[in-house]
Amino acid sequence: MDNRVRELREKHGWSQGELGERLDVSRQTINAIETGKYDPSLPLAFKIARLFGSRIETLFDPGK
Amino acid sequence: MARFSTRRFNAYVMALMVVYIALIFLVWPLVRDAHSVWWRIALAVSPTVPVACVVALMARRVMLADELEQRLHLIALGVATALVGTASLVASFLAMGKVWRGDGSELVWVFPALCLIYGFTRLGLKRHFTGTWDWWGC
Repeated sequence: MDNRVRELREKHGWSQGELGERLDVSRQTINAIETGKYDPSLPLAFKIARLFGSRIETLFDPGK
Repeated sequence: MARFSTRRFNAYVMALMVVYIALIFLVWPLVRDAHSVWWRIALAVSPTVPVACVVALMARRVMLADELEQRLHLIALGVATALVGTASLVASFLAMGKVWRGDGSELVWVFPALCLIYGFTRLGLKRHFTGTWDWWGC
């Protein structure tokens, strides 16, 4: 699944570790989400969207 | 509750493993010379106390982990359980068929095998999901 997490994180000037601390997940989990190797659960996806002030569908694109 | 840091977890496990090794080499050999049955039982199972503490620490670590970490722990545990369980079944049938004559002491390898397969599987999964070979953070 494509996502804009890396783009928004960099826009806020946060490292993966800092974003992980804000979301209460590990840096490795942020890395796995950004590289598309792991799709977050719905609660975590909502948490990410809320943190960036975005709608979940603008952050994550399930593709075809 | 705060997440369990890998450094703190590793320090606790190392300390418990030192206790385990000390019990194996210093206390366990006294079993054969003990006179009371209860004392023999206590000495014989004494090494399992630090191991039980490690299991409790691992359970706490998994409970406090985030969702990806929990998934990696559970997949690794599933793989380790399936492989060790199948190997134990094969060994049991071989023993029942008198093909393999064991005295039961081989069972001591079940738990270490479980831990080893769990560790390597988790290392491989972590490599797949995060692209890092982080053995101590495993």
